Formats: sequence, C-alpha cells, structure tokens
Amino acid sequence: MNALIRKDLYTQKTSTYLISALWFIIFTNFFTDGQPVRHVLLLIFVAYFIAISTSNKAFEKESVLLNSLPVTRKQFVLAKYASAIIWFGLSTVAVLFYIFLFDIFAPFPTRMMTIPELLIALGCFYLIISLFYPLQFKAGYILASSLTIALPLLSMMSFRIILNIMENPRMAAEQKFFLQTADLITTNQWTIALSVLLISALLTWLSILLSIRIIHKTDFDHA
Amino acid sequence: MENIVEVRGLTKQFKGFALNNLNFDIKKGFITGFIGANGAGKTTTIRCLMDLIRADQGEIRLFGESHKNHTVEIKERIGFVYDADFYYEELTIEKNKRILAPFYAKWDDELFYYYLRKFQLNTAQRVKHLSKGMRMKFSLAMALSHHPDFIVMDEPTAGLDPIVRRELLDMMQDLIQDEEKAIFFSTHITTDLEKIADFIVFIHQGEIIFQGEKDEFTERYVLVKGTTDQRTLLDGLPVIGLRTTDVGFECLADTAEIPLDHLSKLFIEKPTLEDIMYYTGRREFE
Repeated sequence: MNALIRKDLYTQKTSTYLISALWFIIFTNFFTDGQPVRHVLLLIFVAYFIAISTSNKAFEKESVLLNSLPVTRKQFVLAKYASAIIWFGLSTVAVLFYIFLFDIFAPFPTRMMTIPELLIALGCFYLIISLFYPLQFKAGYILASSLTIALPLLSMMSFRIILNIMENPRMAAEQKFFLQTADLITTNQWTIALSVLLISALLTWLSILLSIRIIHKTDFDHA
Repeated sequence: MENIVEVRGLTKQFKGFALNNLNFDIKKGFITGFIGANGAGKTTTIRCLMDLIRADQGEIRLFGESHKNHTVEIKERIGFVYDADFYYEELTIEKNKRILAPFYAKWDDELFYYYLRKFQLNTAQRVKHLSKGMRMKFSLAMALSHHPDFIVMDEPTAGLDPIVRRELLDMMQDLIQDEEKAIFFSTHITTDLEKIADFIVFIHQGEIIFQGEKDEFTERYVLVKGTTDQRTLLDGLPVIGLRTTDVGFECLADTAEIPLDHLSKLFIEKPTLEDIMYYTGRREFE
C-alpha cells in the first residue's frame, strides 16, 4: 500500500499546487481578516482540491495499470483514503504559514488556528472525501467532482448570507441566534471538534466499506 | 507439460458481447498465441487473466492459485504488456520506473537499465514523446524487469514497423529459451504466430474454436477449392465460410467434421492461420 500512496505523491501535478492558491482568494480574498471560520473552510477545501486532483479524469486508465500490479483491490481503495491524510497535512502547513505571515506582517487582527479548529477541518475534510470516493468509483470523476465541488460554493454562500444578516439592523433575532451559536462553538471547541471527528470517522469507515464493495465488482475495461 | 494457466468455464456477459464458457491451458516453456479477429474477446480474456475484469462464472488458475486469495503473489510473477498506453505519459521513463518498481518485491534495477540500453531508450525521455515502437520497448522493459515467470502481451505487435516487430519476436524466442517461462500473446497478425508460436488458442465471437499445437491447428483444417460444376459436391457438408465466384468456389473444411476422402475430388491445400481466421470470420455471412 505504501507504493500506492507514494504513487499519488509522485504523480500529483505541480499545476495543482498552483491552482490551489485560488482557494486562498475565494475564501480570504488573499487578505485574511482573521475570522477562524474562514481558515477552517480554506483548509478543508485546499486539502480536498489537492486530494481529488490525484484522481483526475485519467483515473479509469490509471486503474487498469495499478490493478495489474501486485496489489489487492482493497489496498487500492485504502491507499486513496490513506493518502488523503498526507494532502491534509501539506495543506495545513500551507494554510498555517499563510496565517503566520499575516499574523506577523499584516495590520489585520488574526490568530493561528487552534488544535480543535484543525481537528474540525480534518473531520469535515474526511466527510467530503467520504462522499467523493464512492461516487467516483461508481460514477466516475466528472460526476463525483461536479457534485462535491458544490460544497465549497454552498459554504461560501452560507458564510456570506450570515455576514449579511449580521450587518442587517432589522434582523436582531437572527443575529442573536448566530452570536449564541458562535459563543457555543467558541466555548465548546473541543466537544464540537471531537463530535465532528467521531461522526467523520464513522462515515469514513462506512464510505471505505462501500468503496471496497464497489471496486470489488468493478471491471477495469478502459480501452 | 506443466500448465501455468488453466481456464475452465470462463463466462462473462457484457451488453452485446459475451465470453462463452472458455476452456484453455497455457503451458510452461512455450509461446502460446492467442488469435482472433478484432472484437473476438482477446483483450477481455486477457483482462480476466489479470483479474482486471471479473468473470461471471468459471475458474482461472495461474501457477495453481486463483486471484481470489493470491492475487498479489500471482501478479508478482506476471509481466504484462498492455494493448494501449497506460503508463504516465507526462512523466519520464525514469519517473515511471520510480513509481512502479516499488510494487514488485523482485524488481531488478540493473536488468531494467540493461533493457533500456538494449532498446536504446533514454531515461530522461517523457513517455508521450516516444514513438509507437519505443513505447512497446519501454513497456517490455517494465514488464520484464521483475523476473516474471509468465509474460502476457496484449497485441504487442499491432502498429509496429516490420523491423521492430521482428526484434520483438526474436526477443520472445530468447526469453523462452530457459523453458521456465511462458509467453501468452494476443494478435490478429497471424504471420507473427507462424514464426514463433508453439501453441494456438483461437477465439471467435467469444468462443474458443481451437486450442492446441500450432501444426495440429493448420493440419486440422484444409482449404478447399473447386469449379462451379463441382459446387454440388459440397452439398450437405458443414464447410466453413464458403465463397463463390463466377468461376468456382473456395471454403475451409474442418477435417474433424468432414473426413478428407469426402473431398478427394476437389482441390485441397494447407491453409495459413490467416486463411483459417478469414473463413471462420465469414461463417456469419453465410
């Protein structure tokens, strides 16, 4: 399985790393205002983008090659989920470095991500990955990436809507609700982080079982 | 003779195509040619051997084991040459090697570089920049560098110029010299098989028509020719791919079904592999 994971690292295109910089623009306009939620979303989607880029459109063709090598189909699936942790690690380093630069040099109020925030990001990242892989194994890359790419867009839209509500003087009740929720999240970060991780672990496990089942029945007949 | 591969009752159904109850063996120490027209089921059968396609029914045993429990051990001993370009096109030969070599416990770097020198391949070249012949040589170097006992090649000679094709055939013969390996290669270029194959497996529309020694195959069939007047001599006989012209007719006869003395008044000659494929293919137009 190590060889499969190493393969993902070797075959990742340089352009993927460059294109992933787009997420910094989308989520922070390249000038983070220090809102932790932006950093969590940024980390989730940078990691997600890099992870799914290893399983690009050539996936069907590559599957023929890989499954003719001395690996089991189960290892083939597990390696995908395992290498996701590497992409998350790399993305964490990039996002933390980015925040660090702003923290040190920019005149904006910002702070480094906390460990619970990193764990929440990890949990959410695996939730999306758990949706993506079974979809990809069953229906192909285009459909899987199209469906899951809607998630960052929805996140950004929701975030924007909440910001608008917070600035609207006629929505005092909603503002109170969001402030209380933010308070709750801030004071119970560890509880929320561990809950997200637990749910994510459960769904990832189910997703792995489903993916193995799909791949076991798959014919690699790409010409 | 020891069988490296045993296929029994292999059945696989696709939309509009099926492999139908295939039975054949591949023997150690020999070159077995797998012939059939385009779309006959050669690639599907090979992919079943590699466990890339799962059979609906039947059993495939390689080295006495099945893929179900021993796929890693089996694939470790197979060198697979693909029918299309499945390697990483954007990467160099060296990078492809770095990615794929760790999968094999018995990968031999020295042997790999020996083949590259022999084939005059440059490690810094990207796969996408290689010619068809160079790609085949690279694919062969990749397939042979982990000391496989069984070499499977899917249409290795298709699209190659005569010189490279000849080199490849010579190499297959060299590989088989120690009698410890087996080569199974599919092709629709029958002249390749006439040069080097010891055994033939002939597939037609998803069914095995013949399997056995090459000479037995060409001796079993006869090419029958006659004038228009003699056409009635074939009445009631199950000839294959009958082709009539203004002056006469030609067809193939399986001597297992039609004894030679029934054809004694006609002109008969030994067919080539291509003749057998051609007339068998004509059967559906009759």
